[in-house]
Amino acid sequence: MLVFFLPLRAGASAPELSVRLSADVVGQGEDVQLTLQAMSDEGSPDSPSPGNTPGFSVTGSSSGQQISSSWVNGRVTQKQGLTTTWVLRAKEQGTFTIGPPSIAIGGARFSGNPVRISVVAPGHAPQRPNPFDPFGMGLPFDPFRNFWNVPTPNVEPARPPTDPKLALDAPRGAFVFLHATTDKASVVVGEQVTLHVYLYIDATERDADLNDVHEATADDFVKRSLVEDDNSEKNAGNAIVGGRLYVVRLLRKWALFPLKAGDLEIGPMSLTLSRRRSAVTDPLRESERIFVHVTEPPLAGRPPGFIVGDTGNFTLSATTTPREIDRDGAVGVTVELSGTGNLPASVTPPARAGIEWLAPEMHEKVGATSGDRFGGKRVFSYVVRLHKEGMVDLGDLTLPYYNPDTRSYGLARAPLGVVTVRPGATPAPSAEAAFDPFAALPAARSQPSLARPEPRYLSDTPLFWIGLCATPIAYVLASGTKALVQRVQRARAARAASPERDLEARMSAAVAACRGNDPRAADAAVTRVLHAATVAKIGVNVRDAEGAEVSRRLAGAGVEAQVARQIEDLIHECESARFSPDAVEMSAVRERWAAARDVVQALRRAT
Amino acid sequence: MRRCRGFGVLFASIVAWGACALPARAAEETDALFASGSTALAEGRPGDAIADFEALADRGGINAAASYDRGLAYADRVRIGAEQPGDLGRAAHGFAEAIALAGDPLLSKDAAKALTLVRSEVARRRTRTGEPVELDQGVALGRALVELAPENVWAVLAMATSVLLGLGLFARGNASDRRQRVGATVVSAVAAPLLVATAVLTLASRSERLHLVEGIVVASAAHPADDKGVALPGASPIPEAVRVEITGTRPGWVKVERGSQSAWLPSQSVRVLARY
Repeated sequence: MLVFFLPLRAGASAPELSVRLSADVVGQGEDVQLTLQAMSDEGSPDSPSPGNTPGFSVTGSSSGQQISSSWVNGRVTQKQGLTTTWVLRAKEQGTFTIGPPSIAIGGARFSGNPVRISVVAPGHAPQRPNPFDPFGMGLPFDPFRNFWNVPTPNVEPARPPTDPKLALDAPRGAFVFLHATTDKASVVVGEQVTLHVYLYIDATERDADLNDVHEATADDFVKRSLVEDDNSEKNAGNAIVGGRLYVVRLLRKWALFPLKAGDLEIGPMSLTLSRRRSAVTDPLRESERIFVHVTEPPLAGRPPGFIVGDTGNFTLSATTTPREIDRDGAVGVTVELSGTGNLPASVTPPARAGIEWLAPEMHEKVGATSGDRFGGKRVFSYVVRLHKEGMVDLGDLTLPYYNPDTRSYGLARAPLGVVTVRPGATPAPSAEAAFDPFAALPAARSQPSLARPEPRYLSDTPLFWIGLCATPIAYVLASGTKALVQRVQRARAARAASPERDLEARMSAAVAACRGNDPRAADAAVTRVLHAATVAKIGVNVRDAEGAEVSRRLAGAGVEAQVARQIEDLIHECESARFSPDAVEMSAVRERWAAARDVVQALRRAT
Repeated sequence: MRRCRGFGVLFASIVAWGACALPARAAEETDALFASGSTALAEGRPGDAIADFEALADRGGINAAASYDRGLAYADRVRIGAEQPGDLGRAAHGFAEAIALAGDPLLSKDAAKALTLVRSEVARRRTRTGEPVELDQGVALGRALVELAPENVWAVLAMATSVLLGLGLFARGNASDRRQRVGATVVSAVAAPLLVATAVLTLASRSERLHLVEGIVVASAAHPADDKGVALPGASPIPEAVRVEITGTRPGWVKVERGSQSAWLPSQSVRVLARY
């Protein structure tokens, strides 16, 4: 049964709310009562609301008012109250958070605490106390045979109370499983992360036989146990997991201190379940693999001398004895470092000339402190030899640290005080002691260097690389262009002087002449076409041939006799018409031109 | 609308104030740390001086004098007998960084002298323990060649040879007599390989400026390891205060080259030299 009592405001006028649940484990389909009781001296509470009821349905409610008066030291205080009870029926199995129930007082609305409840399979809920049987006797002597209509007590044994914090939605394995949790998911380097590893055992089972235990790996963490003996199991309570009751044991409780930034892994703890049951197919049980996001403490405000990892809340104290010695004598300095967090394993003593700190002896008493914090104290015992005379100030021991609770840096400081050093016996000169390898070190600089102007580099500009390649590329381009132009010119000249080109030009001229009205010029053009065609197609020049010599030359070059004869005839006809004293019709010339074109085509086909 | 405009003006003012105030505050903080460190160094409190100069370095303050004074503070801690492991390496790191950053020749000269003293002390100690004293194995021939002259000198030489090559080629193409043609051919033949060489040296020098990362070993003996982090069999530890080239990193480790040796070292044992 859960009861939360919540004073919401400070002072006499604070309304008081209490939230009560009649059971924290119920069976599916069963009813449970949620009660909100409010008392206030500021006004009458009204408009109660149960809040969220996931997994439940509200089947009814009832309210009752109260008025209470008190007389203290002659002063009368009157409070008004309202108690509301809702009847909730469980609809489904699981673990649910109900509420928070709220109520209005004086125009303002106040909420109580939410409550958690587990719903198990019908008939598996623990027996609730009978209001008519406060001693759990079961009313064995009821002479009136259930006169009070009290339900018959359930024969099922009562279940032990369960801890809702240990409840899980579903088991991670049959009968027995491991479950690991950390209290934080994001920390800074050196900040404590508390790891719990629980063993859940089904309550209906006998003790599980477990062996082959492998510890959780946390290589990137400093690992400290928060319990005295890791090997002894601690009973953590009971929990409802997936509607079943489990006995929970705490196997490990560690304080982990991350060593570096990053997403650091905490590996699973594993063990093997030894059971002679066929139902256990996989006896290996592993806890979850957990990742913790680790960052460095902020740079802003970081004190000089801070070492990343010195995270916690530390204090330093120191005692120095004696306070008066001879030169080259020694004093004892006892430094006590205490606090919570990962206590540094060493403290750097102030380095001063003539003061020699010997290696300290360290004693510690660390472990769990309040609230699962790791802490304690470390005591460093130094022997300090003083090699110079006079009032020697040992300086201050300082330890900068980062406090993760306040998210700020702190500085633990312990003044060591002044020791009076009397002149002692003159030490024997030693060559080794006299040797100073750094006697010739140059002097320190008391002012920061002036900012050096950033030099400009030629090779950073694209212009440099373009310029670097410009002259060779320009030469290559110029030479290439020149050669190309010359080549084109030569090709053009060669092309202009070819017989084919000449034939095309003469044919164009003949076409133009035949469109005109000068028959003699047209005949001359046709004759030139025929001469050019014989040269272009078969390589025979018949310009200087007359009569049958034309056909003979052409036949000699392999032209068909008929074609050769046609050429000869056409040349003859054109020449005759051209030099005839009579007028020649253009139509006749055009006919000759058509015949000449046929002959040229015939020559083309022949070649 | 007017209200929105008012909020806009206010927001812009806050942003402008932040843009001006934050760098000024950071500068004040770094100046204060330098002053505090210098005072501590002068008063014979090297531990406090180291804390201040390291805090300055943590804040990203790159200053040759601060690096030099930091080196002096570490050396001073060794000198007064309060030496912590790695102090000599850290002193060497401060001086080497000061040399790399210094625009002032005098500071550079002092830092070089101090660096020599630190390395001499490391060598002296190694001699006493019977270890090899060879600290500086030098750099590869190519890098030595590149470092013969500043990057801009190589760039100017490359440009000059480019012009010379162009002139030679044009003269060769337009030469009217044989002697001119031969002369132009010789100029071109000399300038062409020179252009290639100086251009390559310019590129290498630029690449070194942009990509070379060096560090100083700050552990008394850094044990070389292979890719799996296993100590290399037979490899002797890299001495403190030695300069190494960092060619790779992985969580907790840095890959370094020293002479012909290439190995992984724990990242805590090498401190990177800052550069502008």
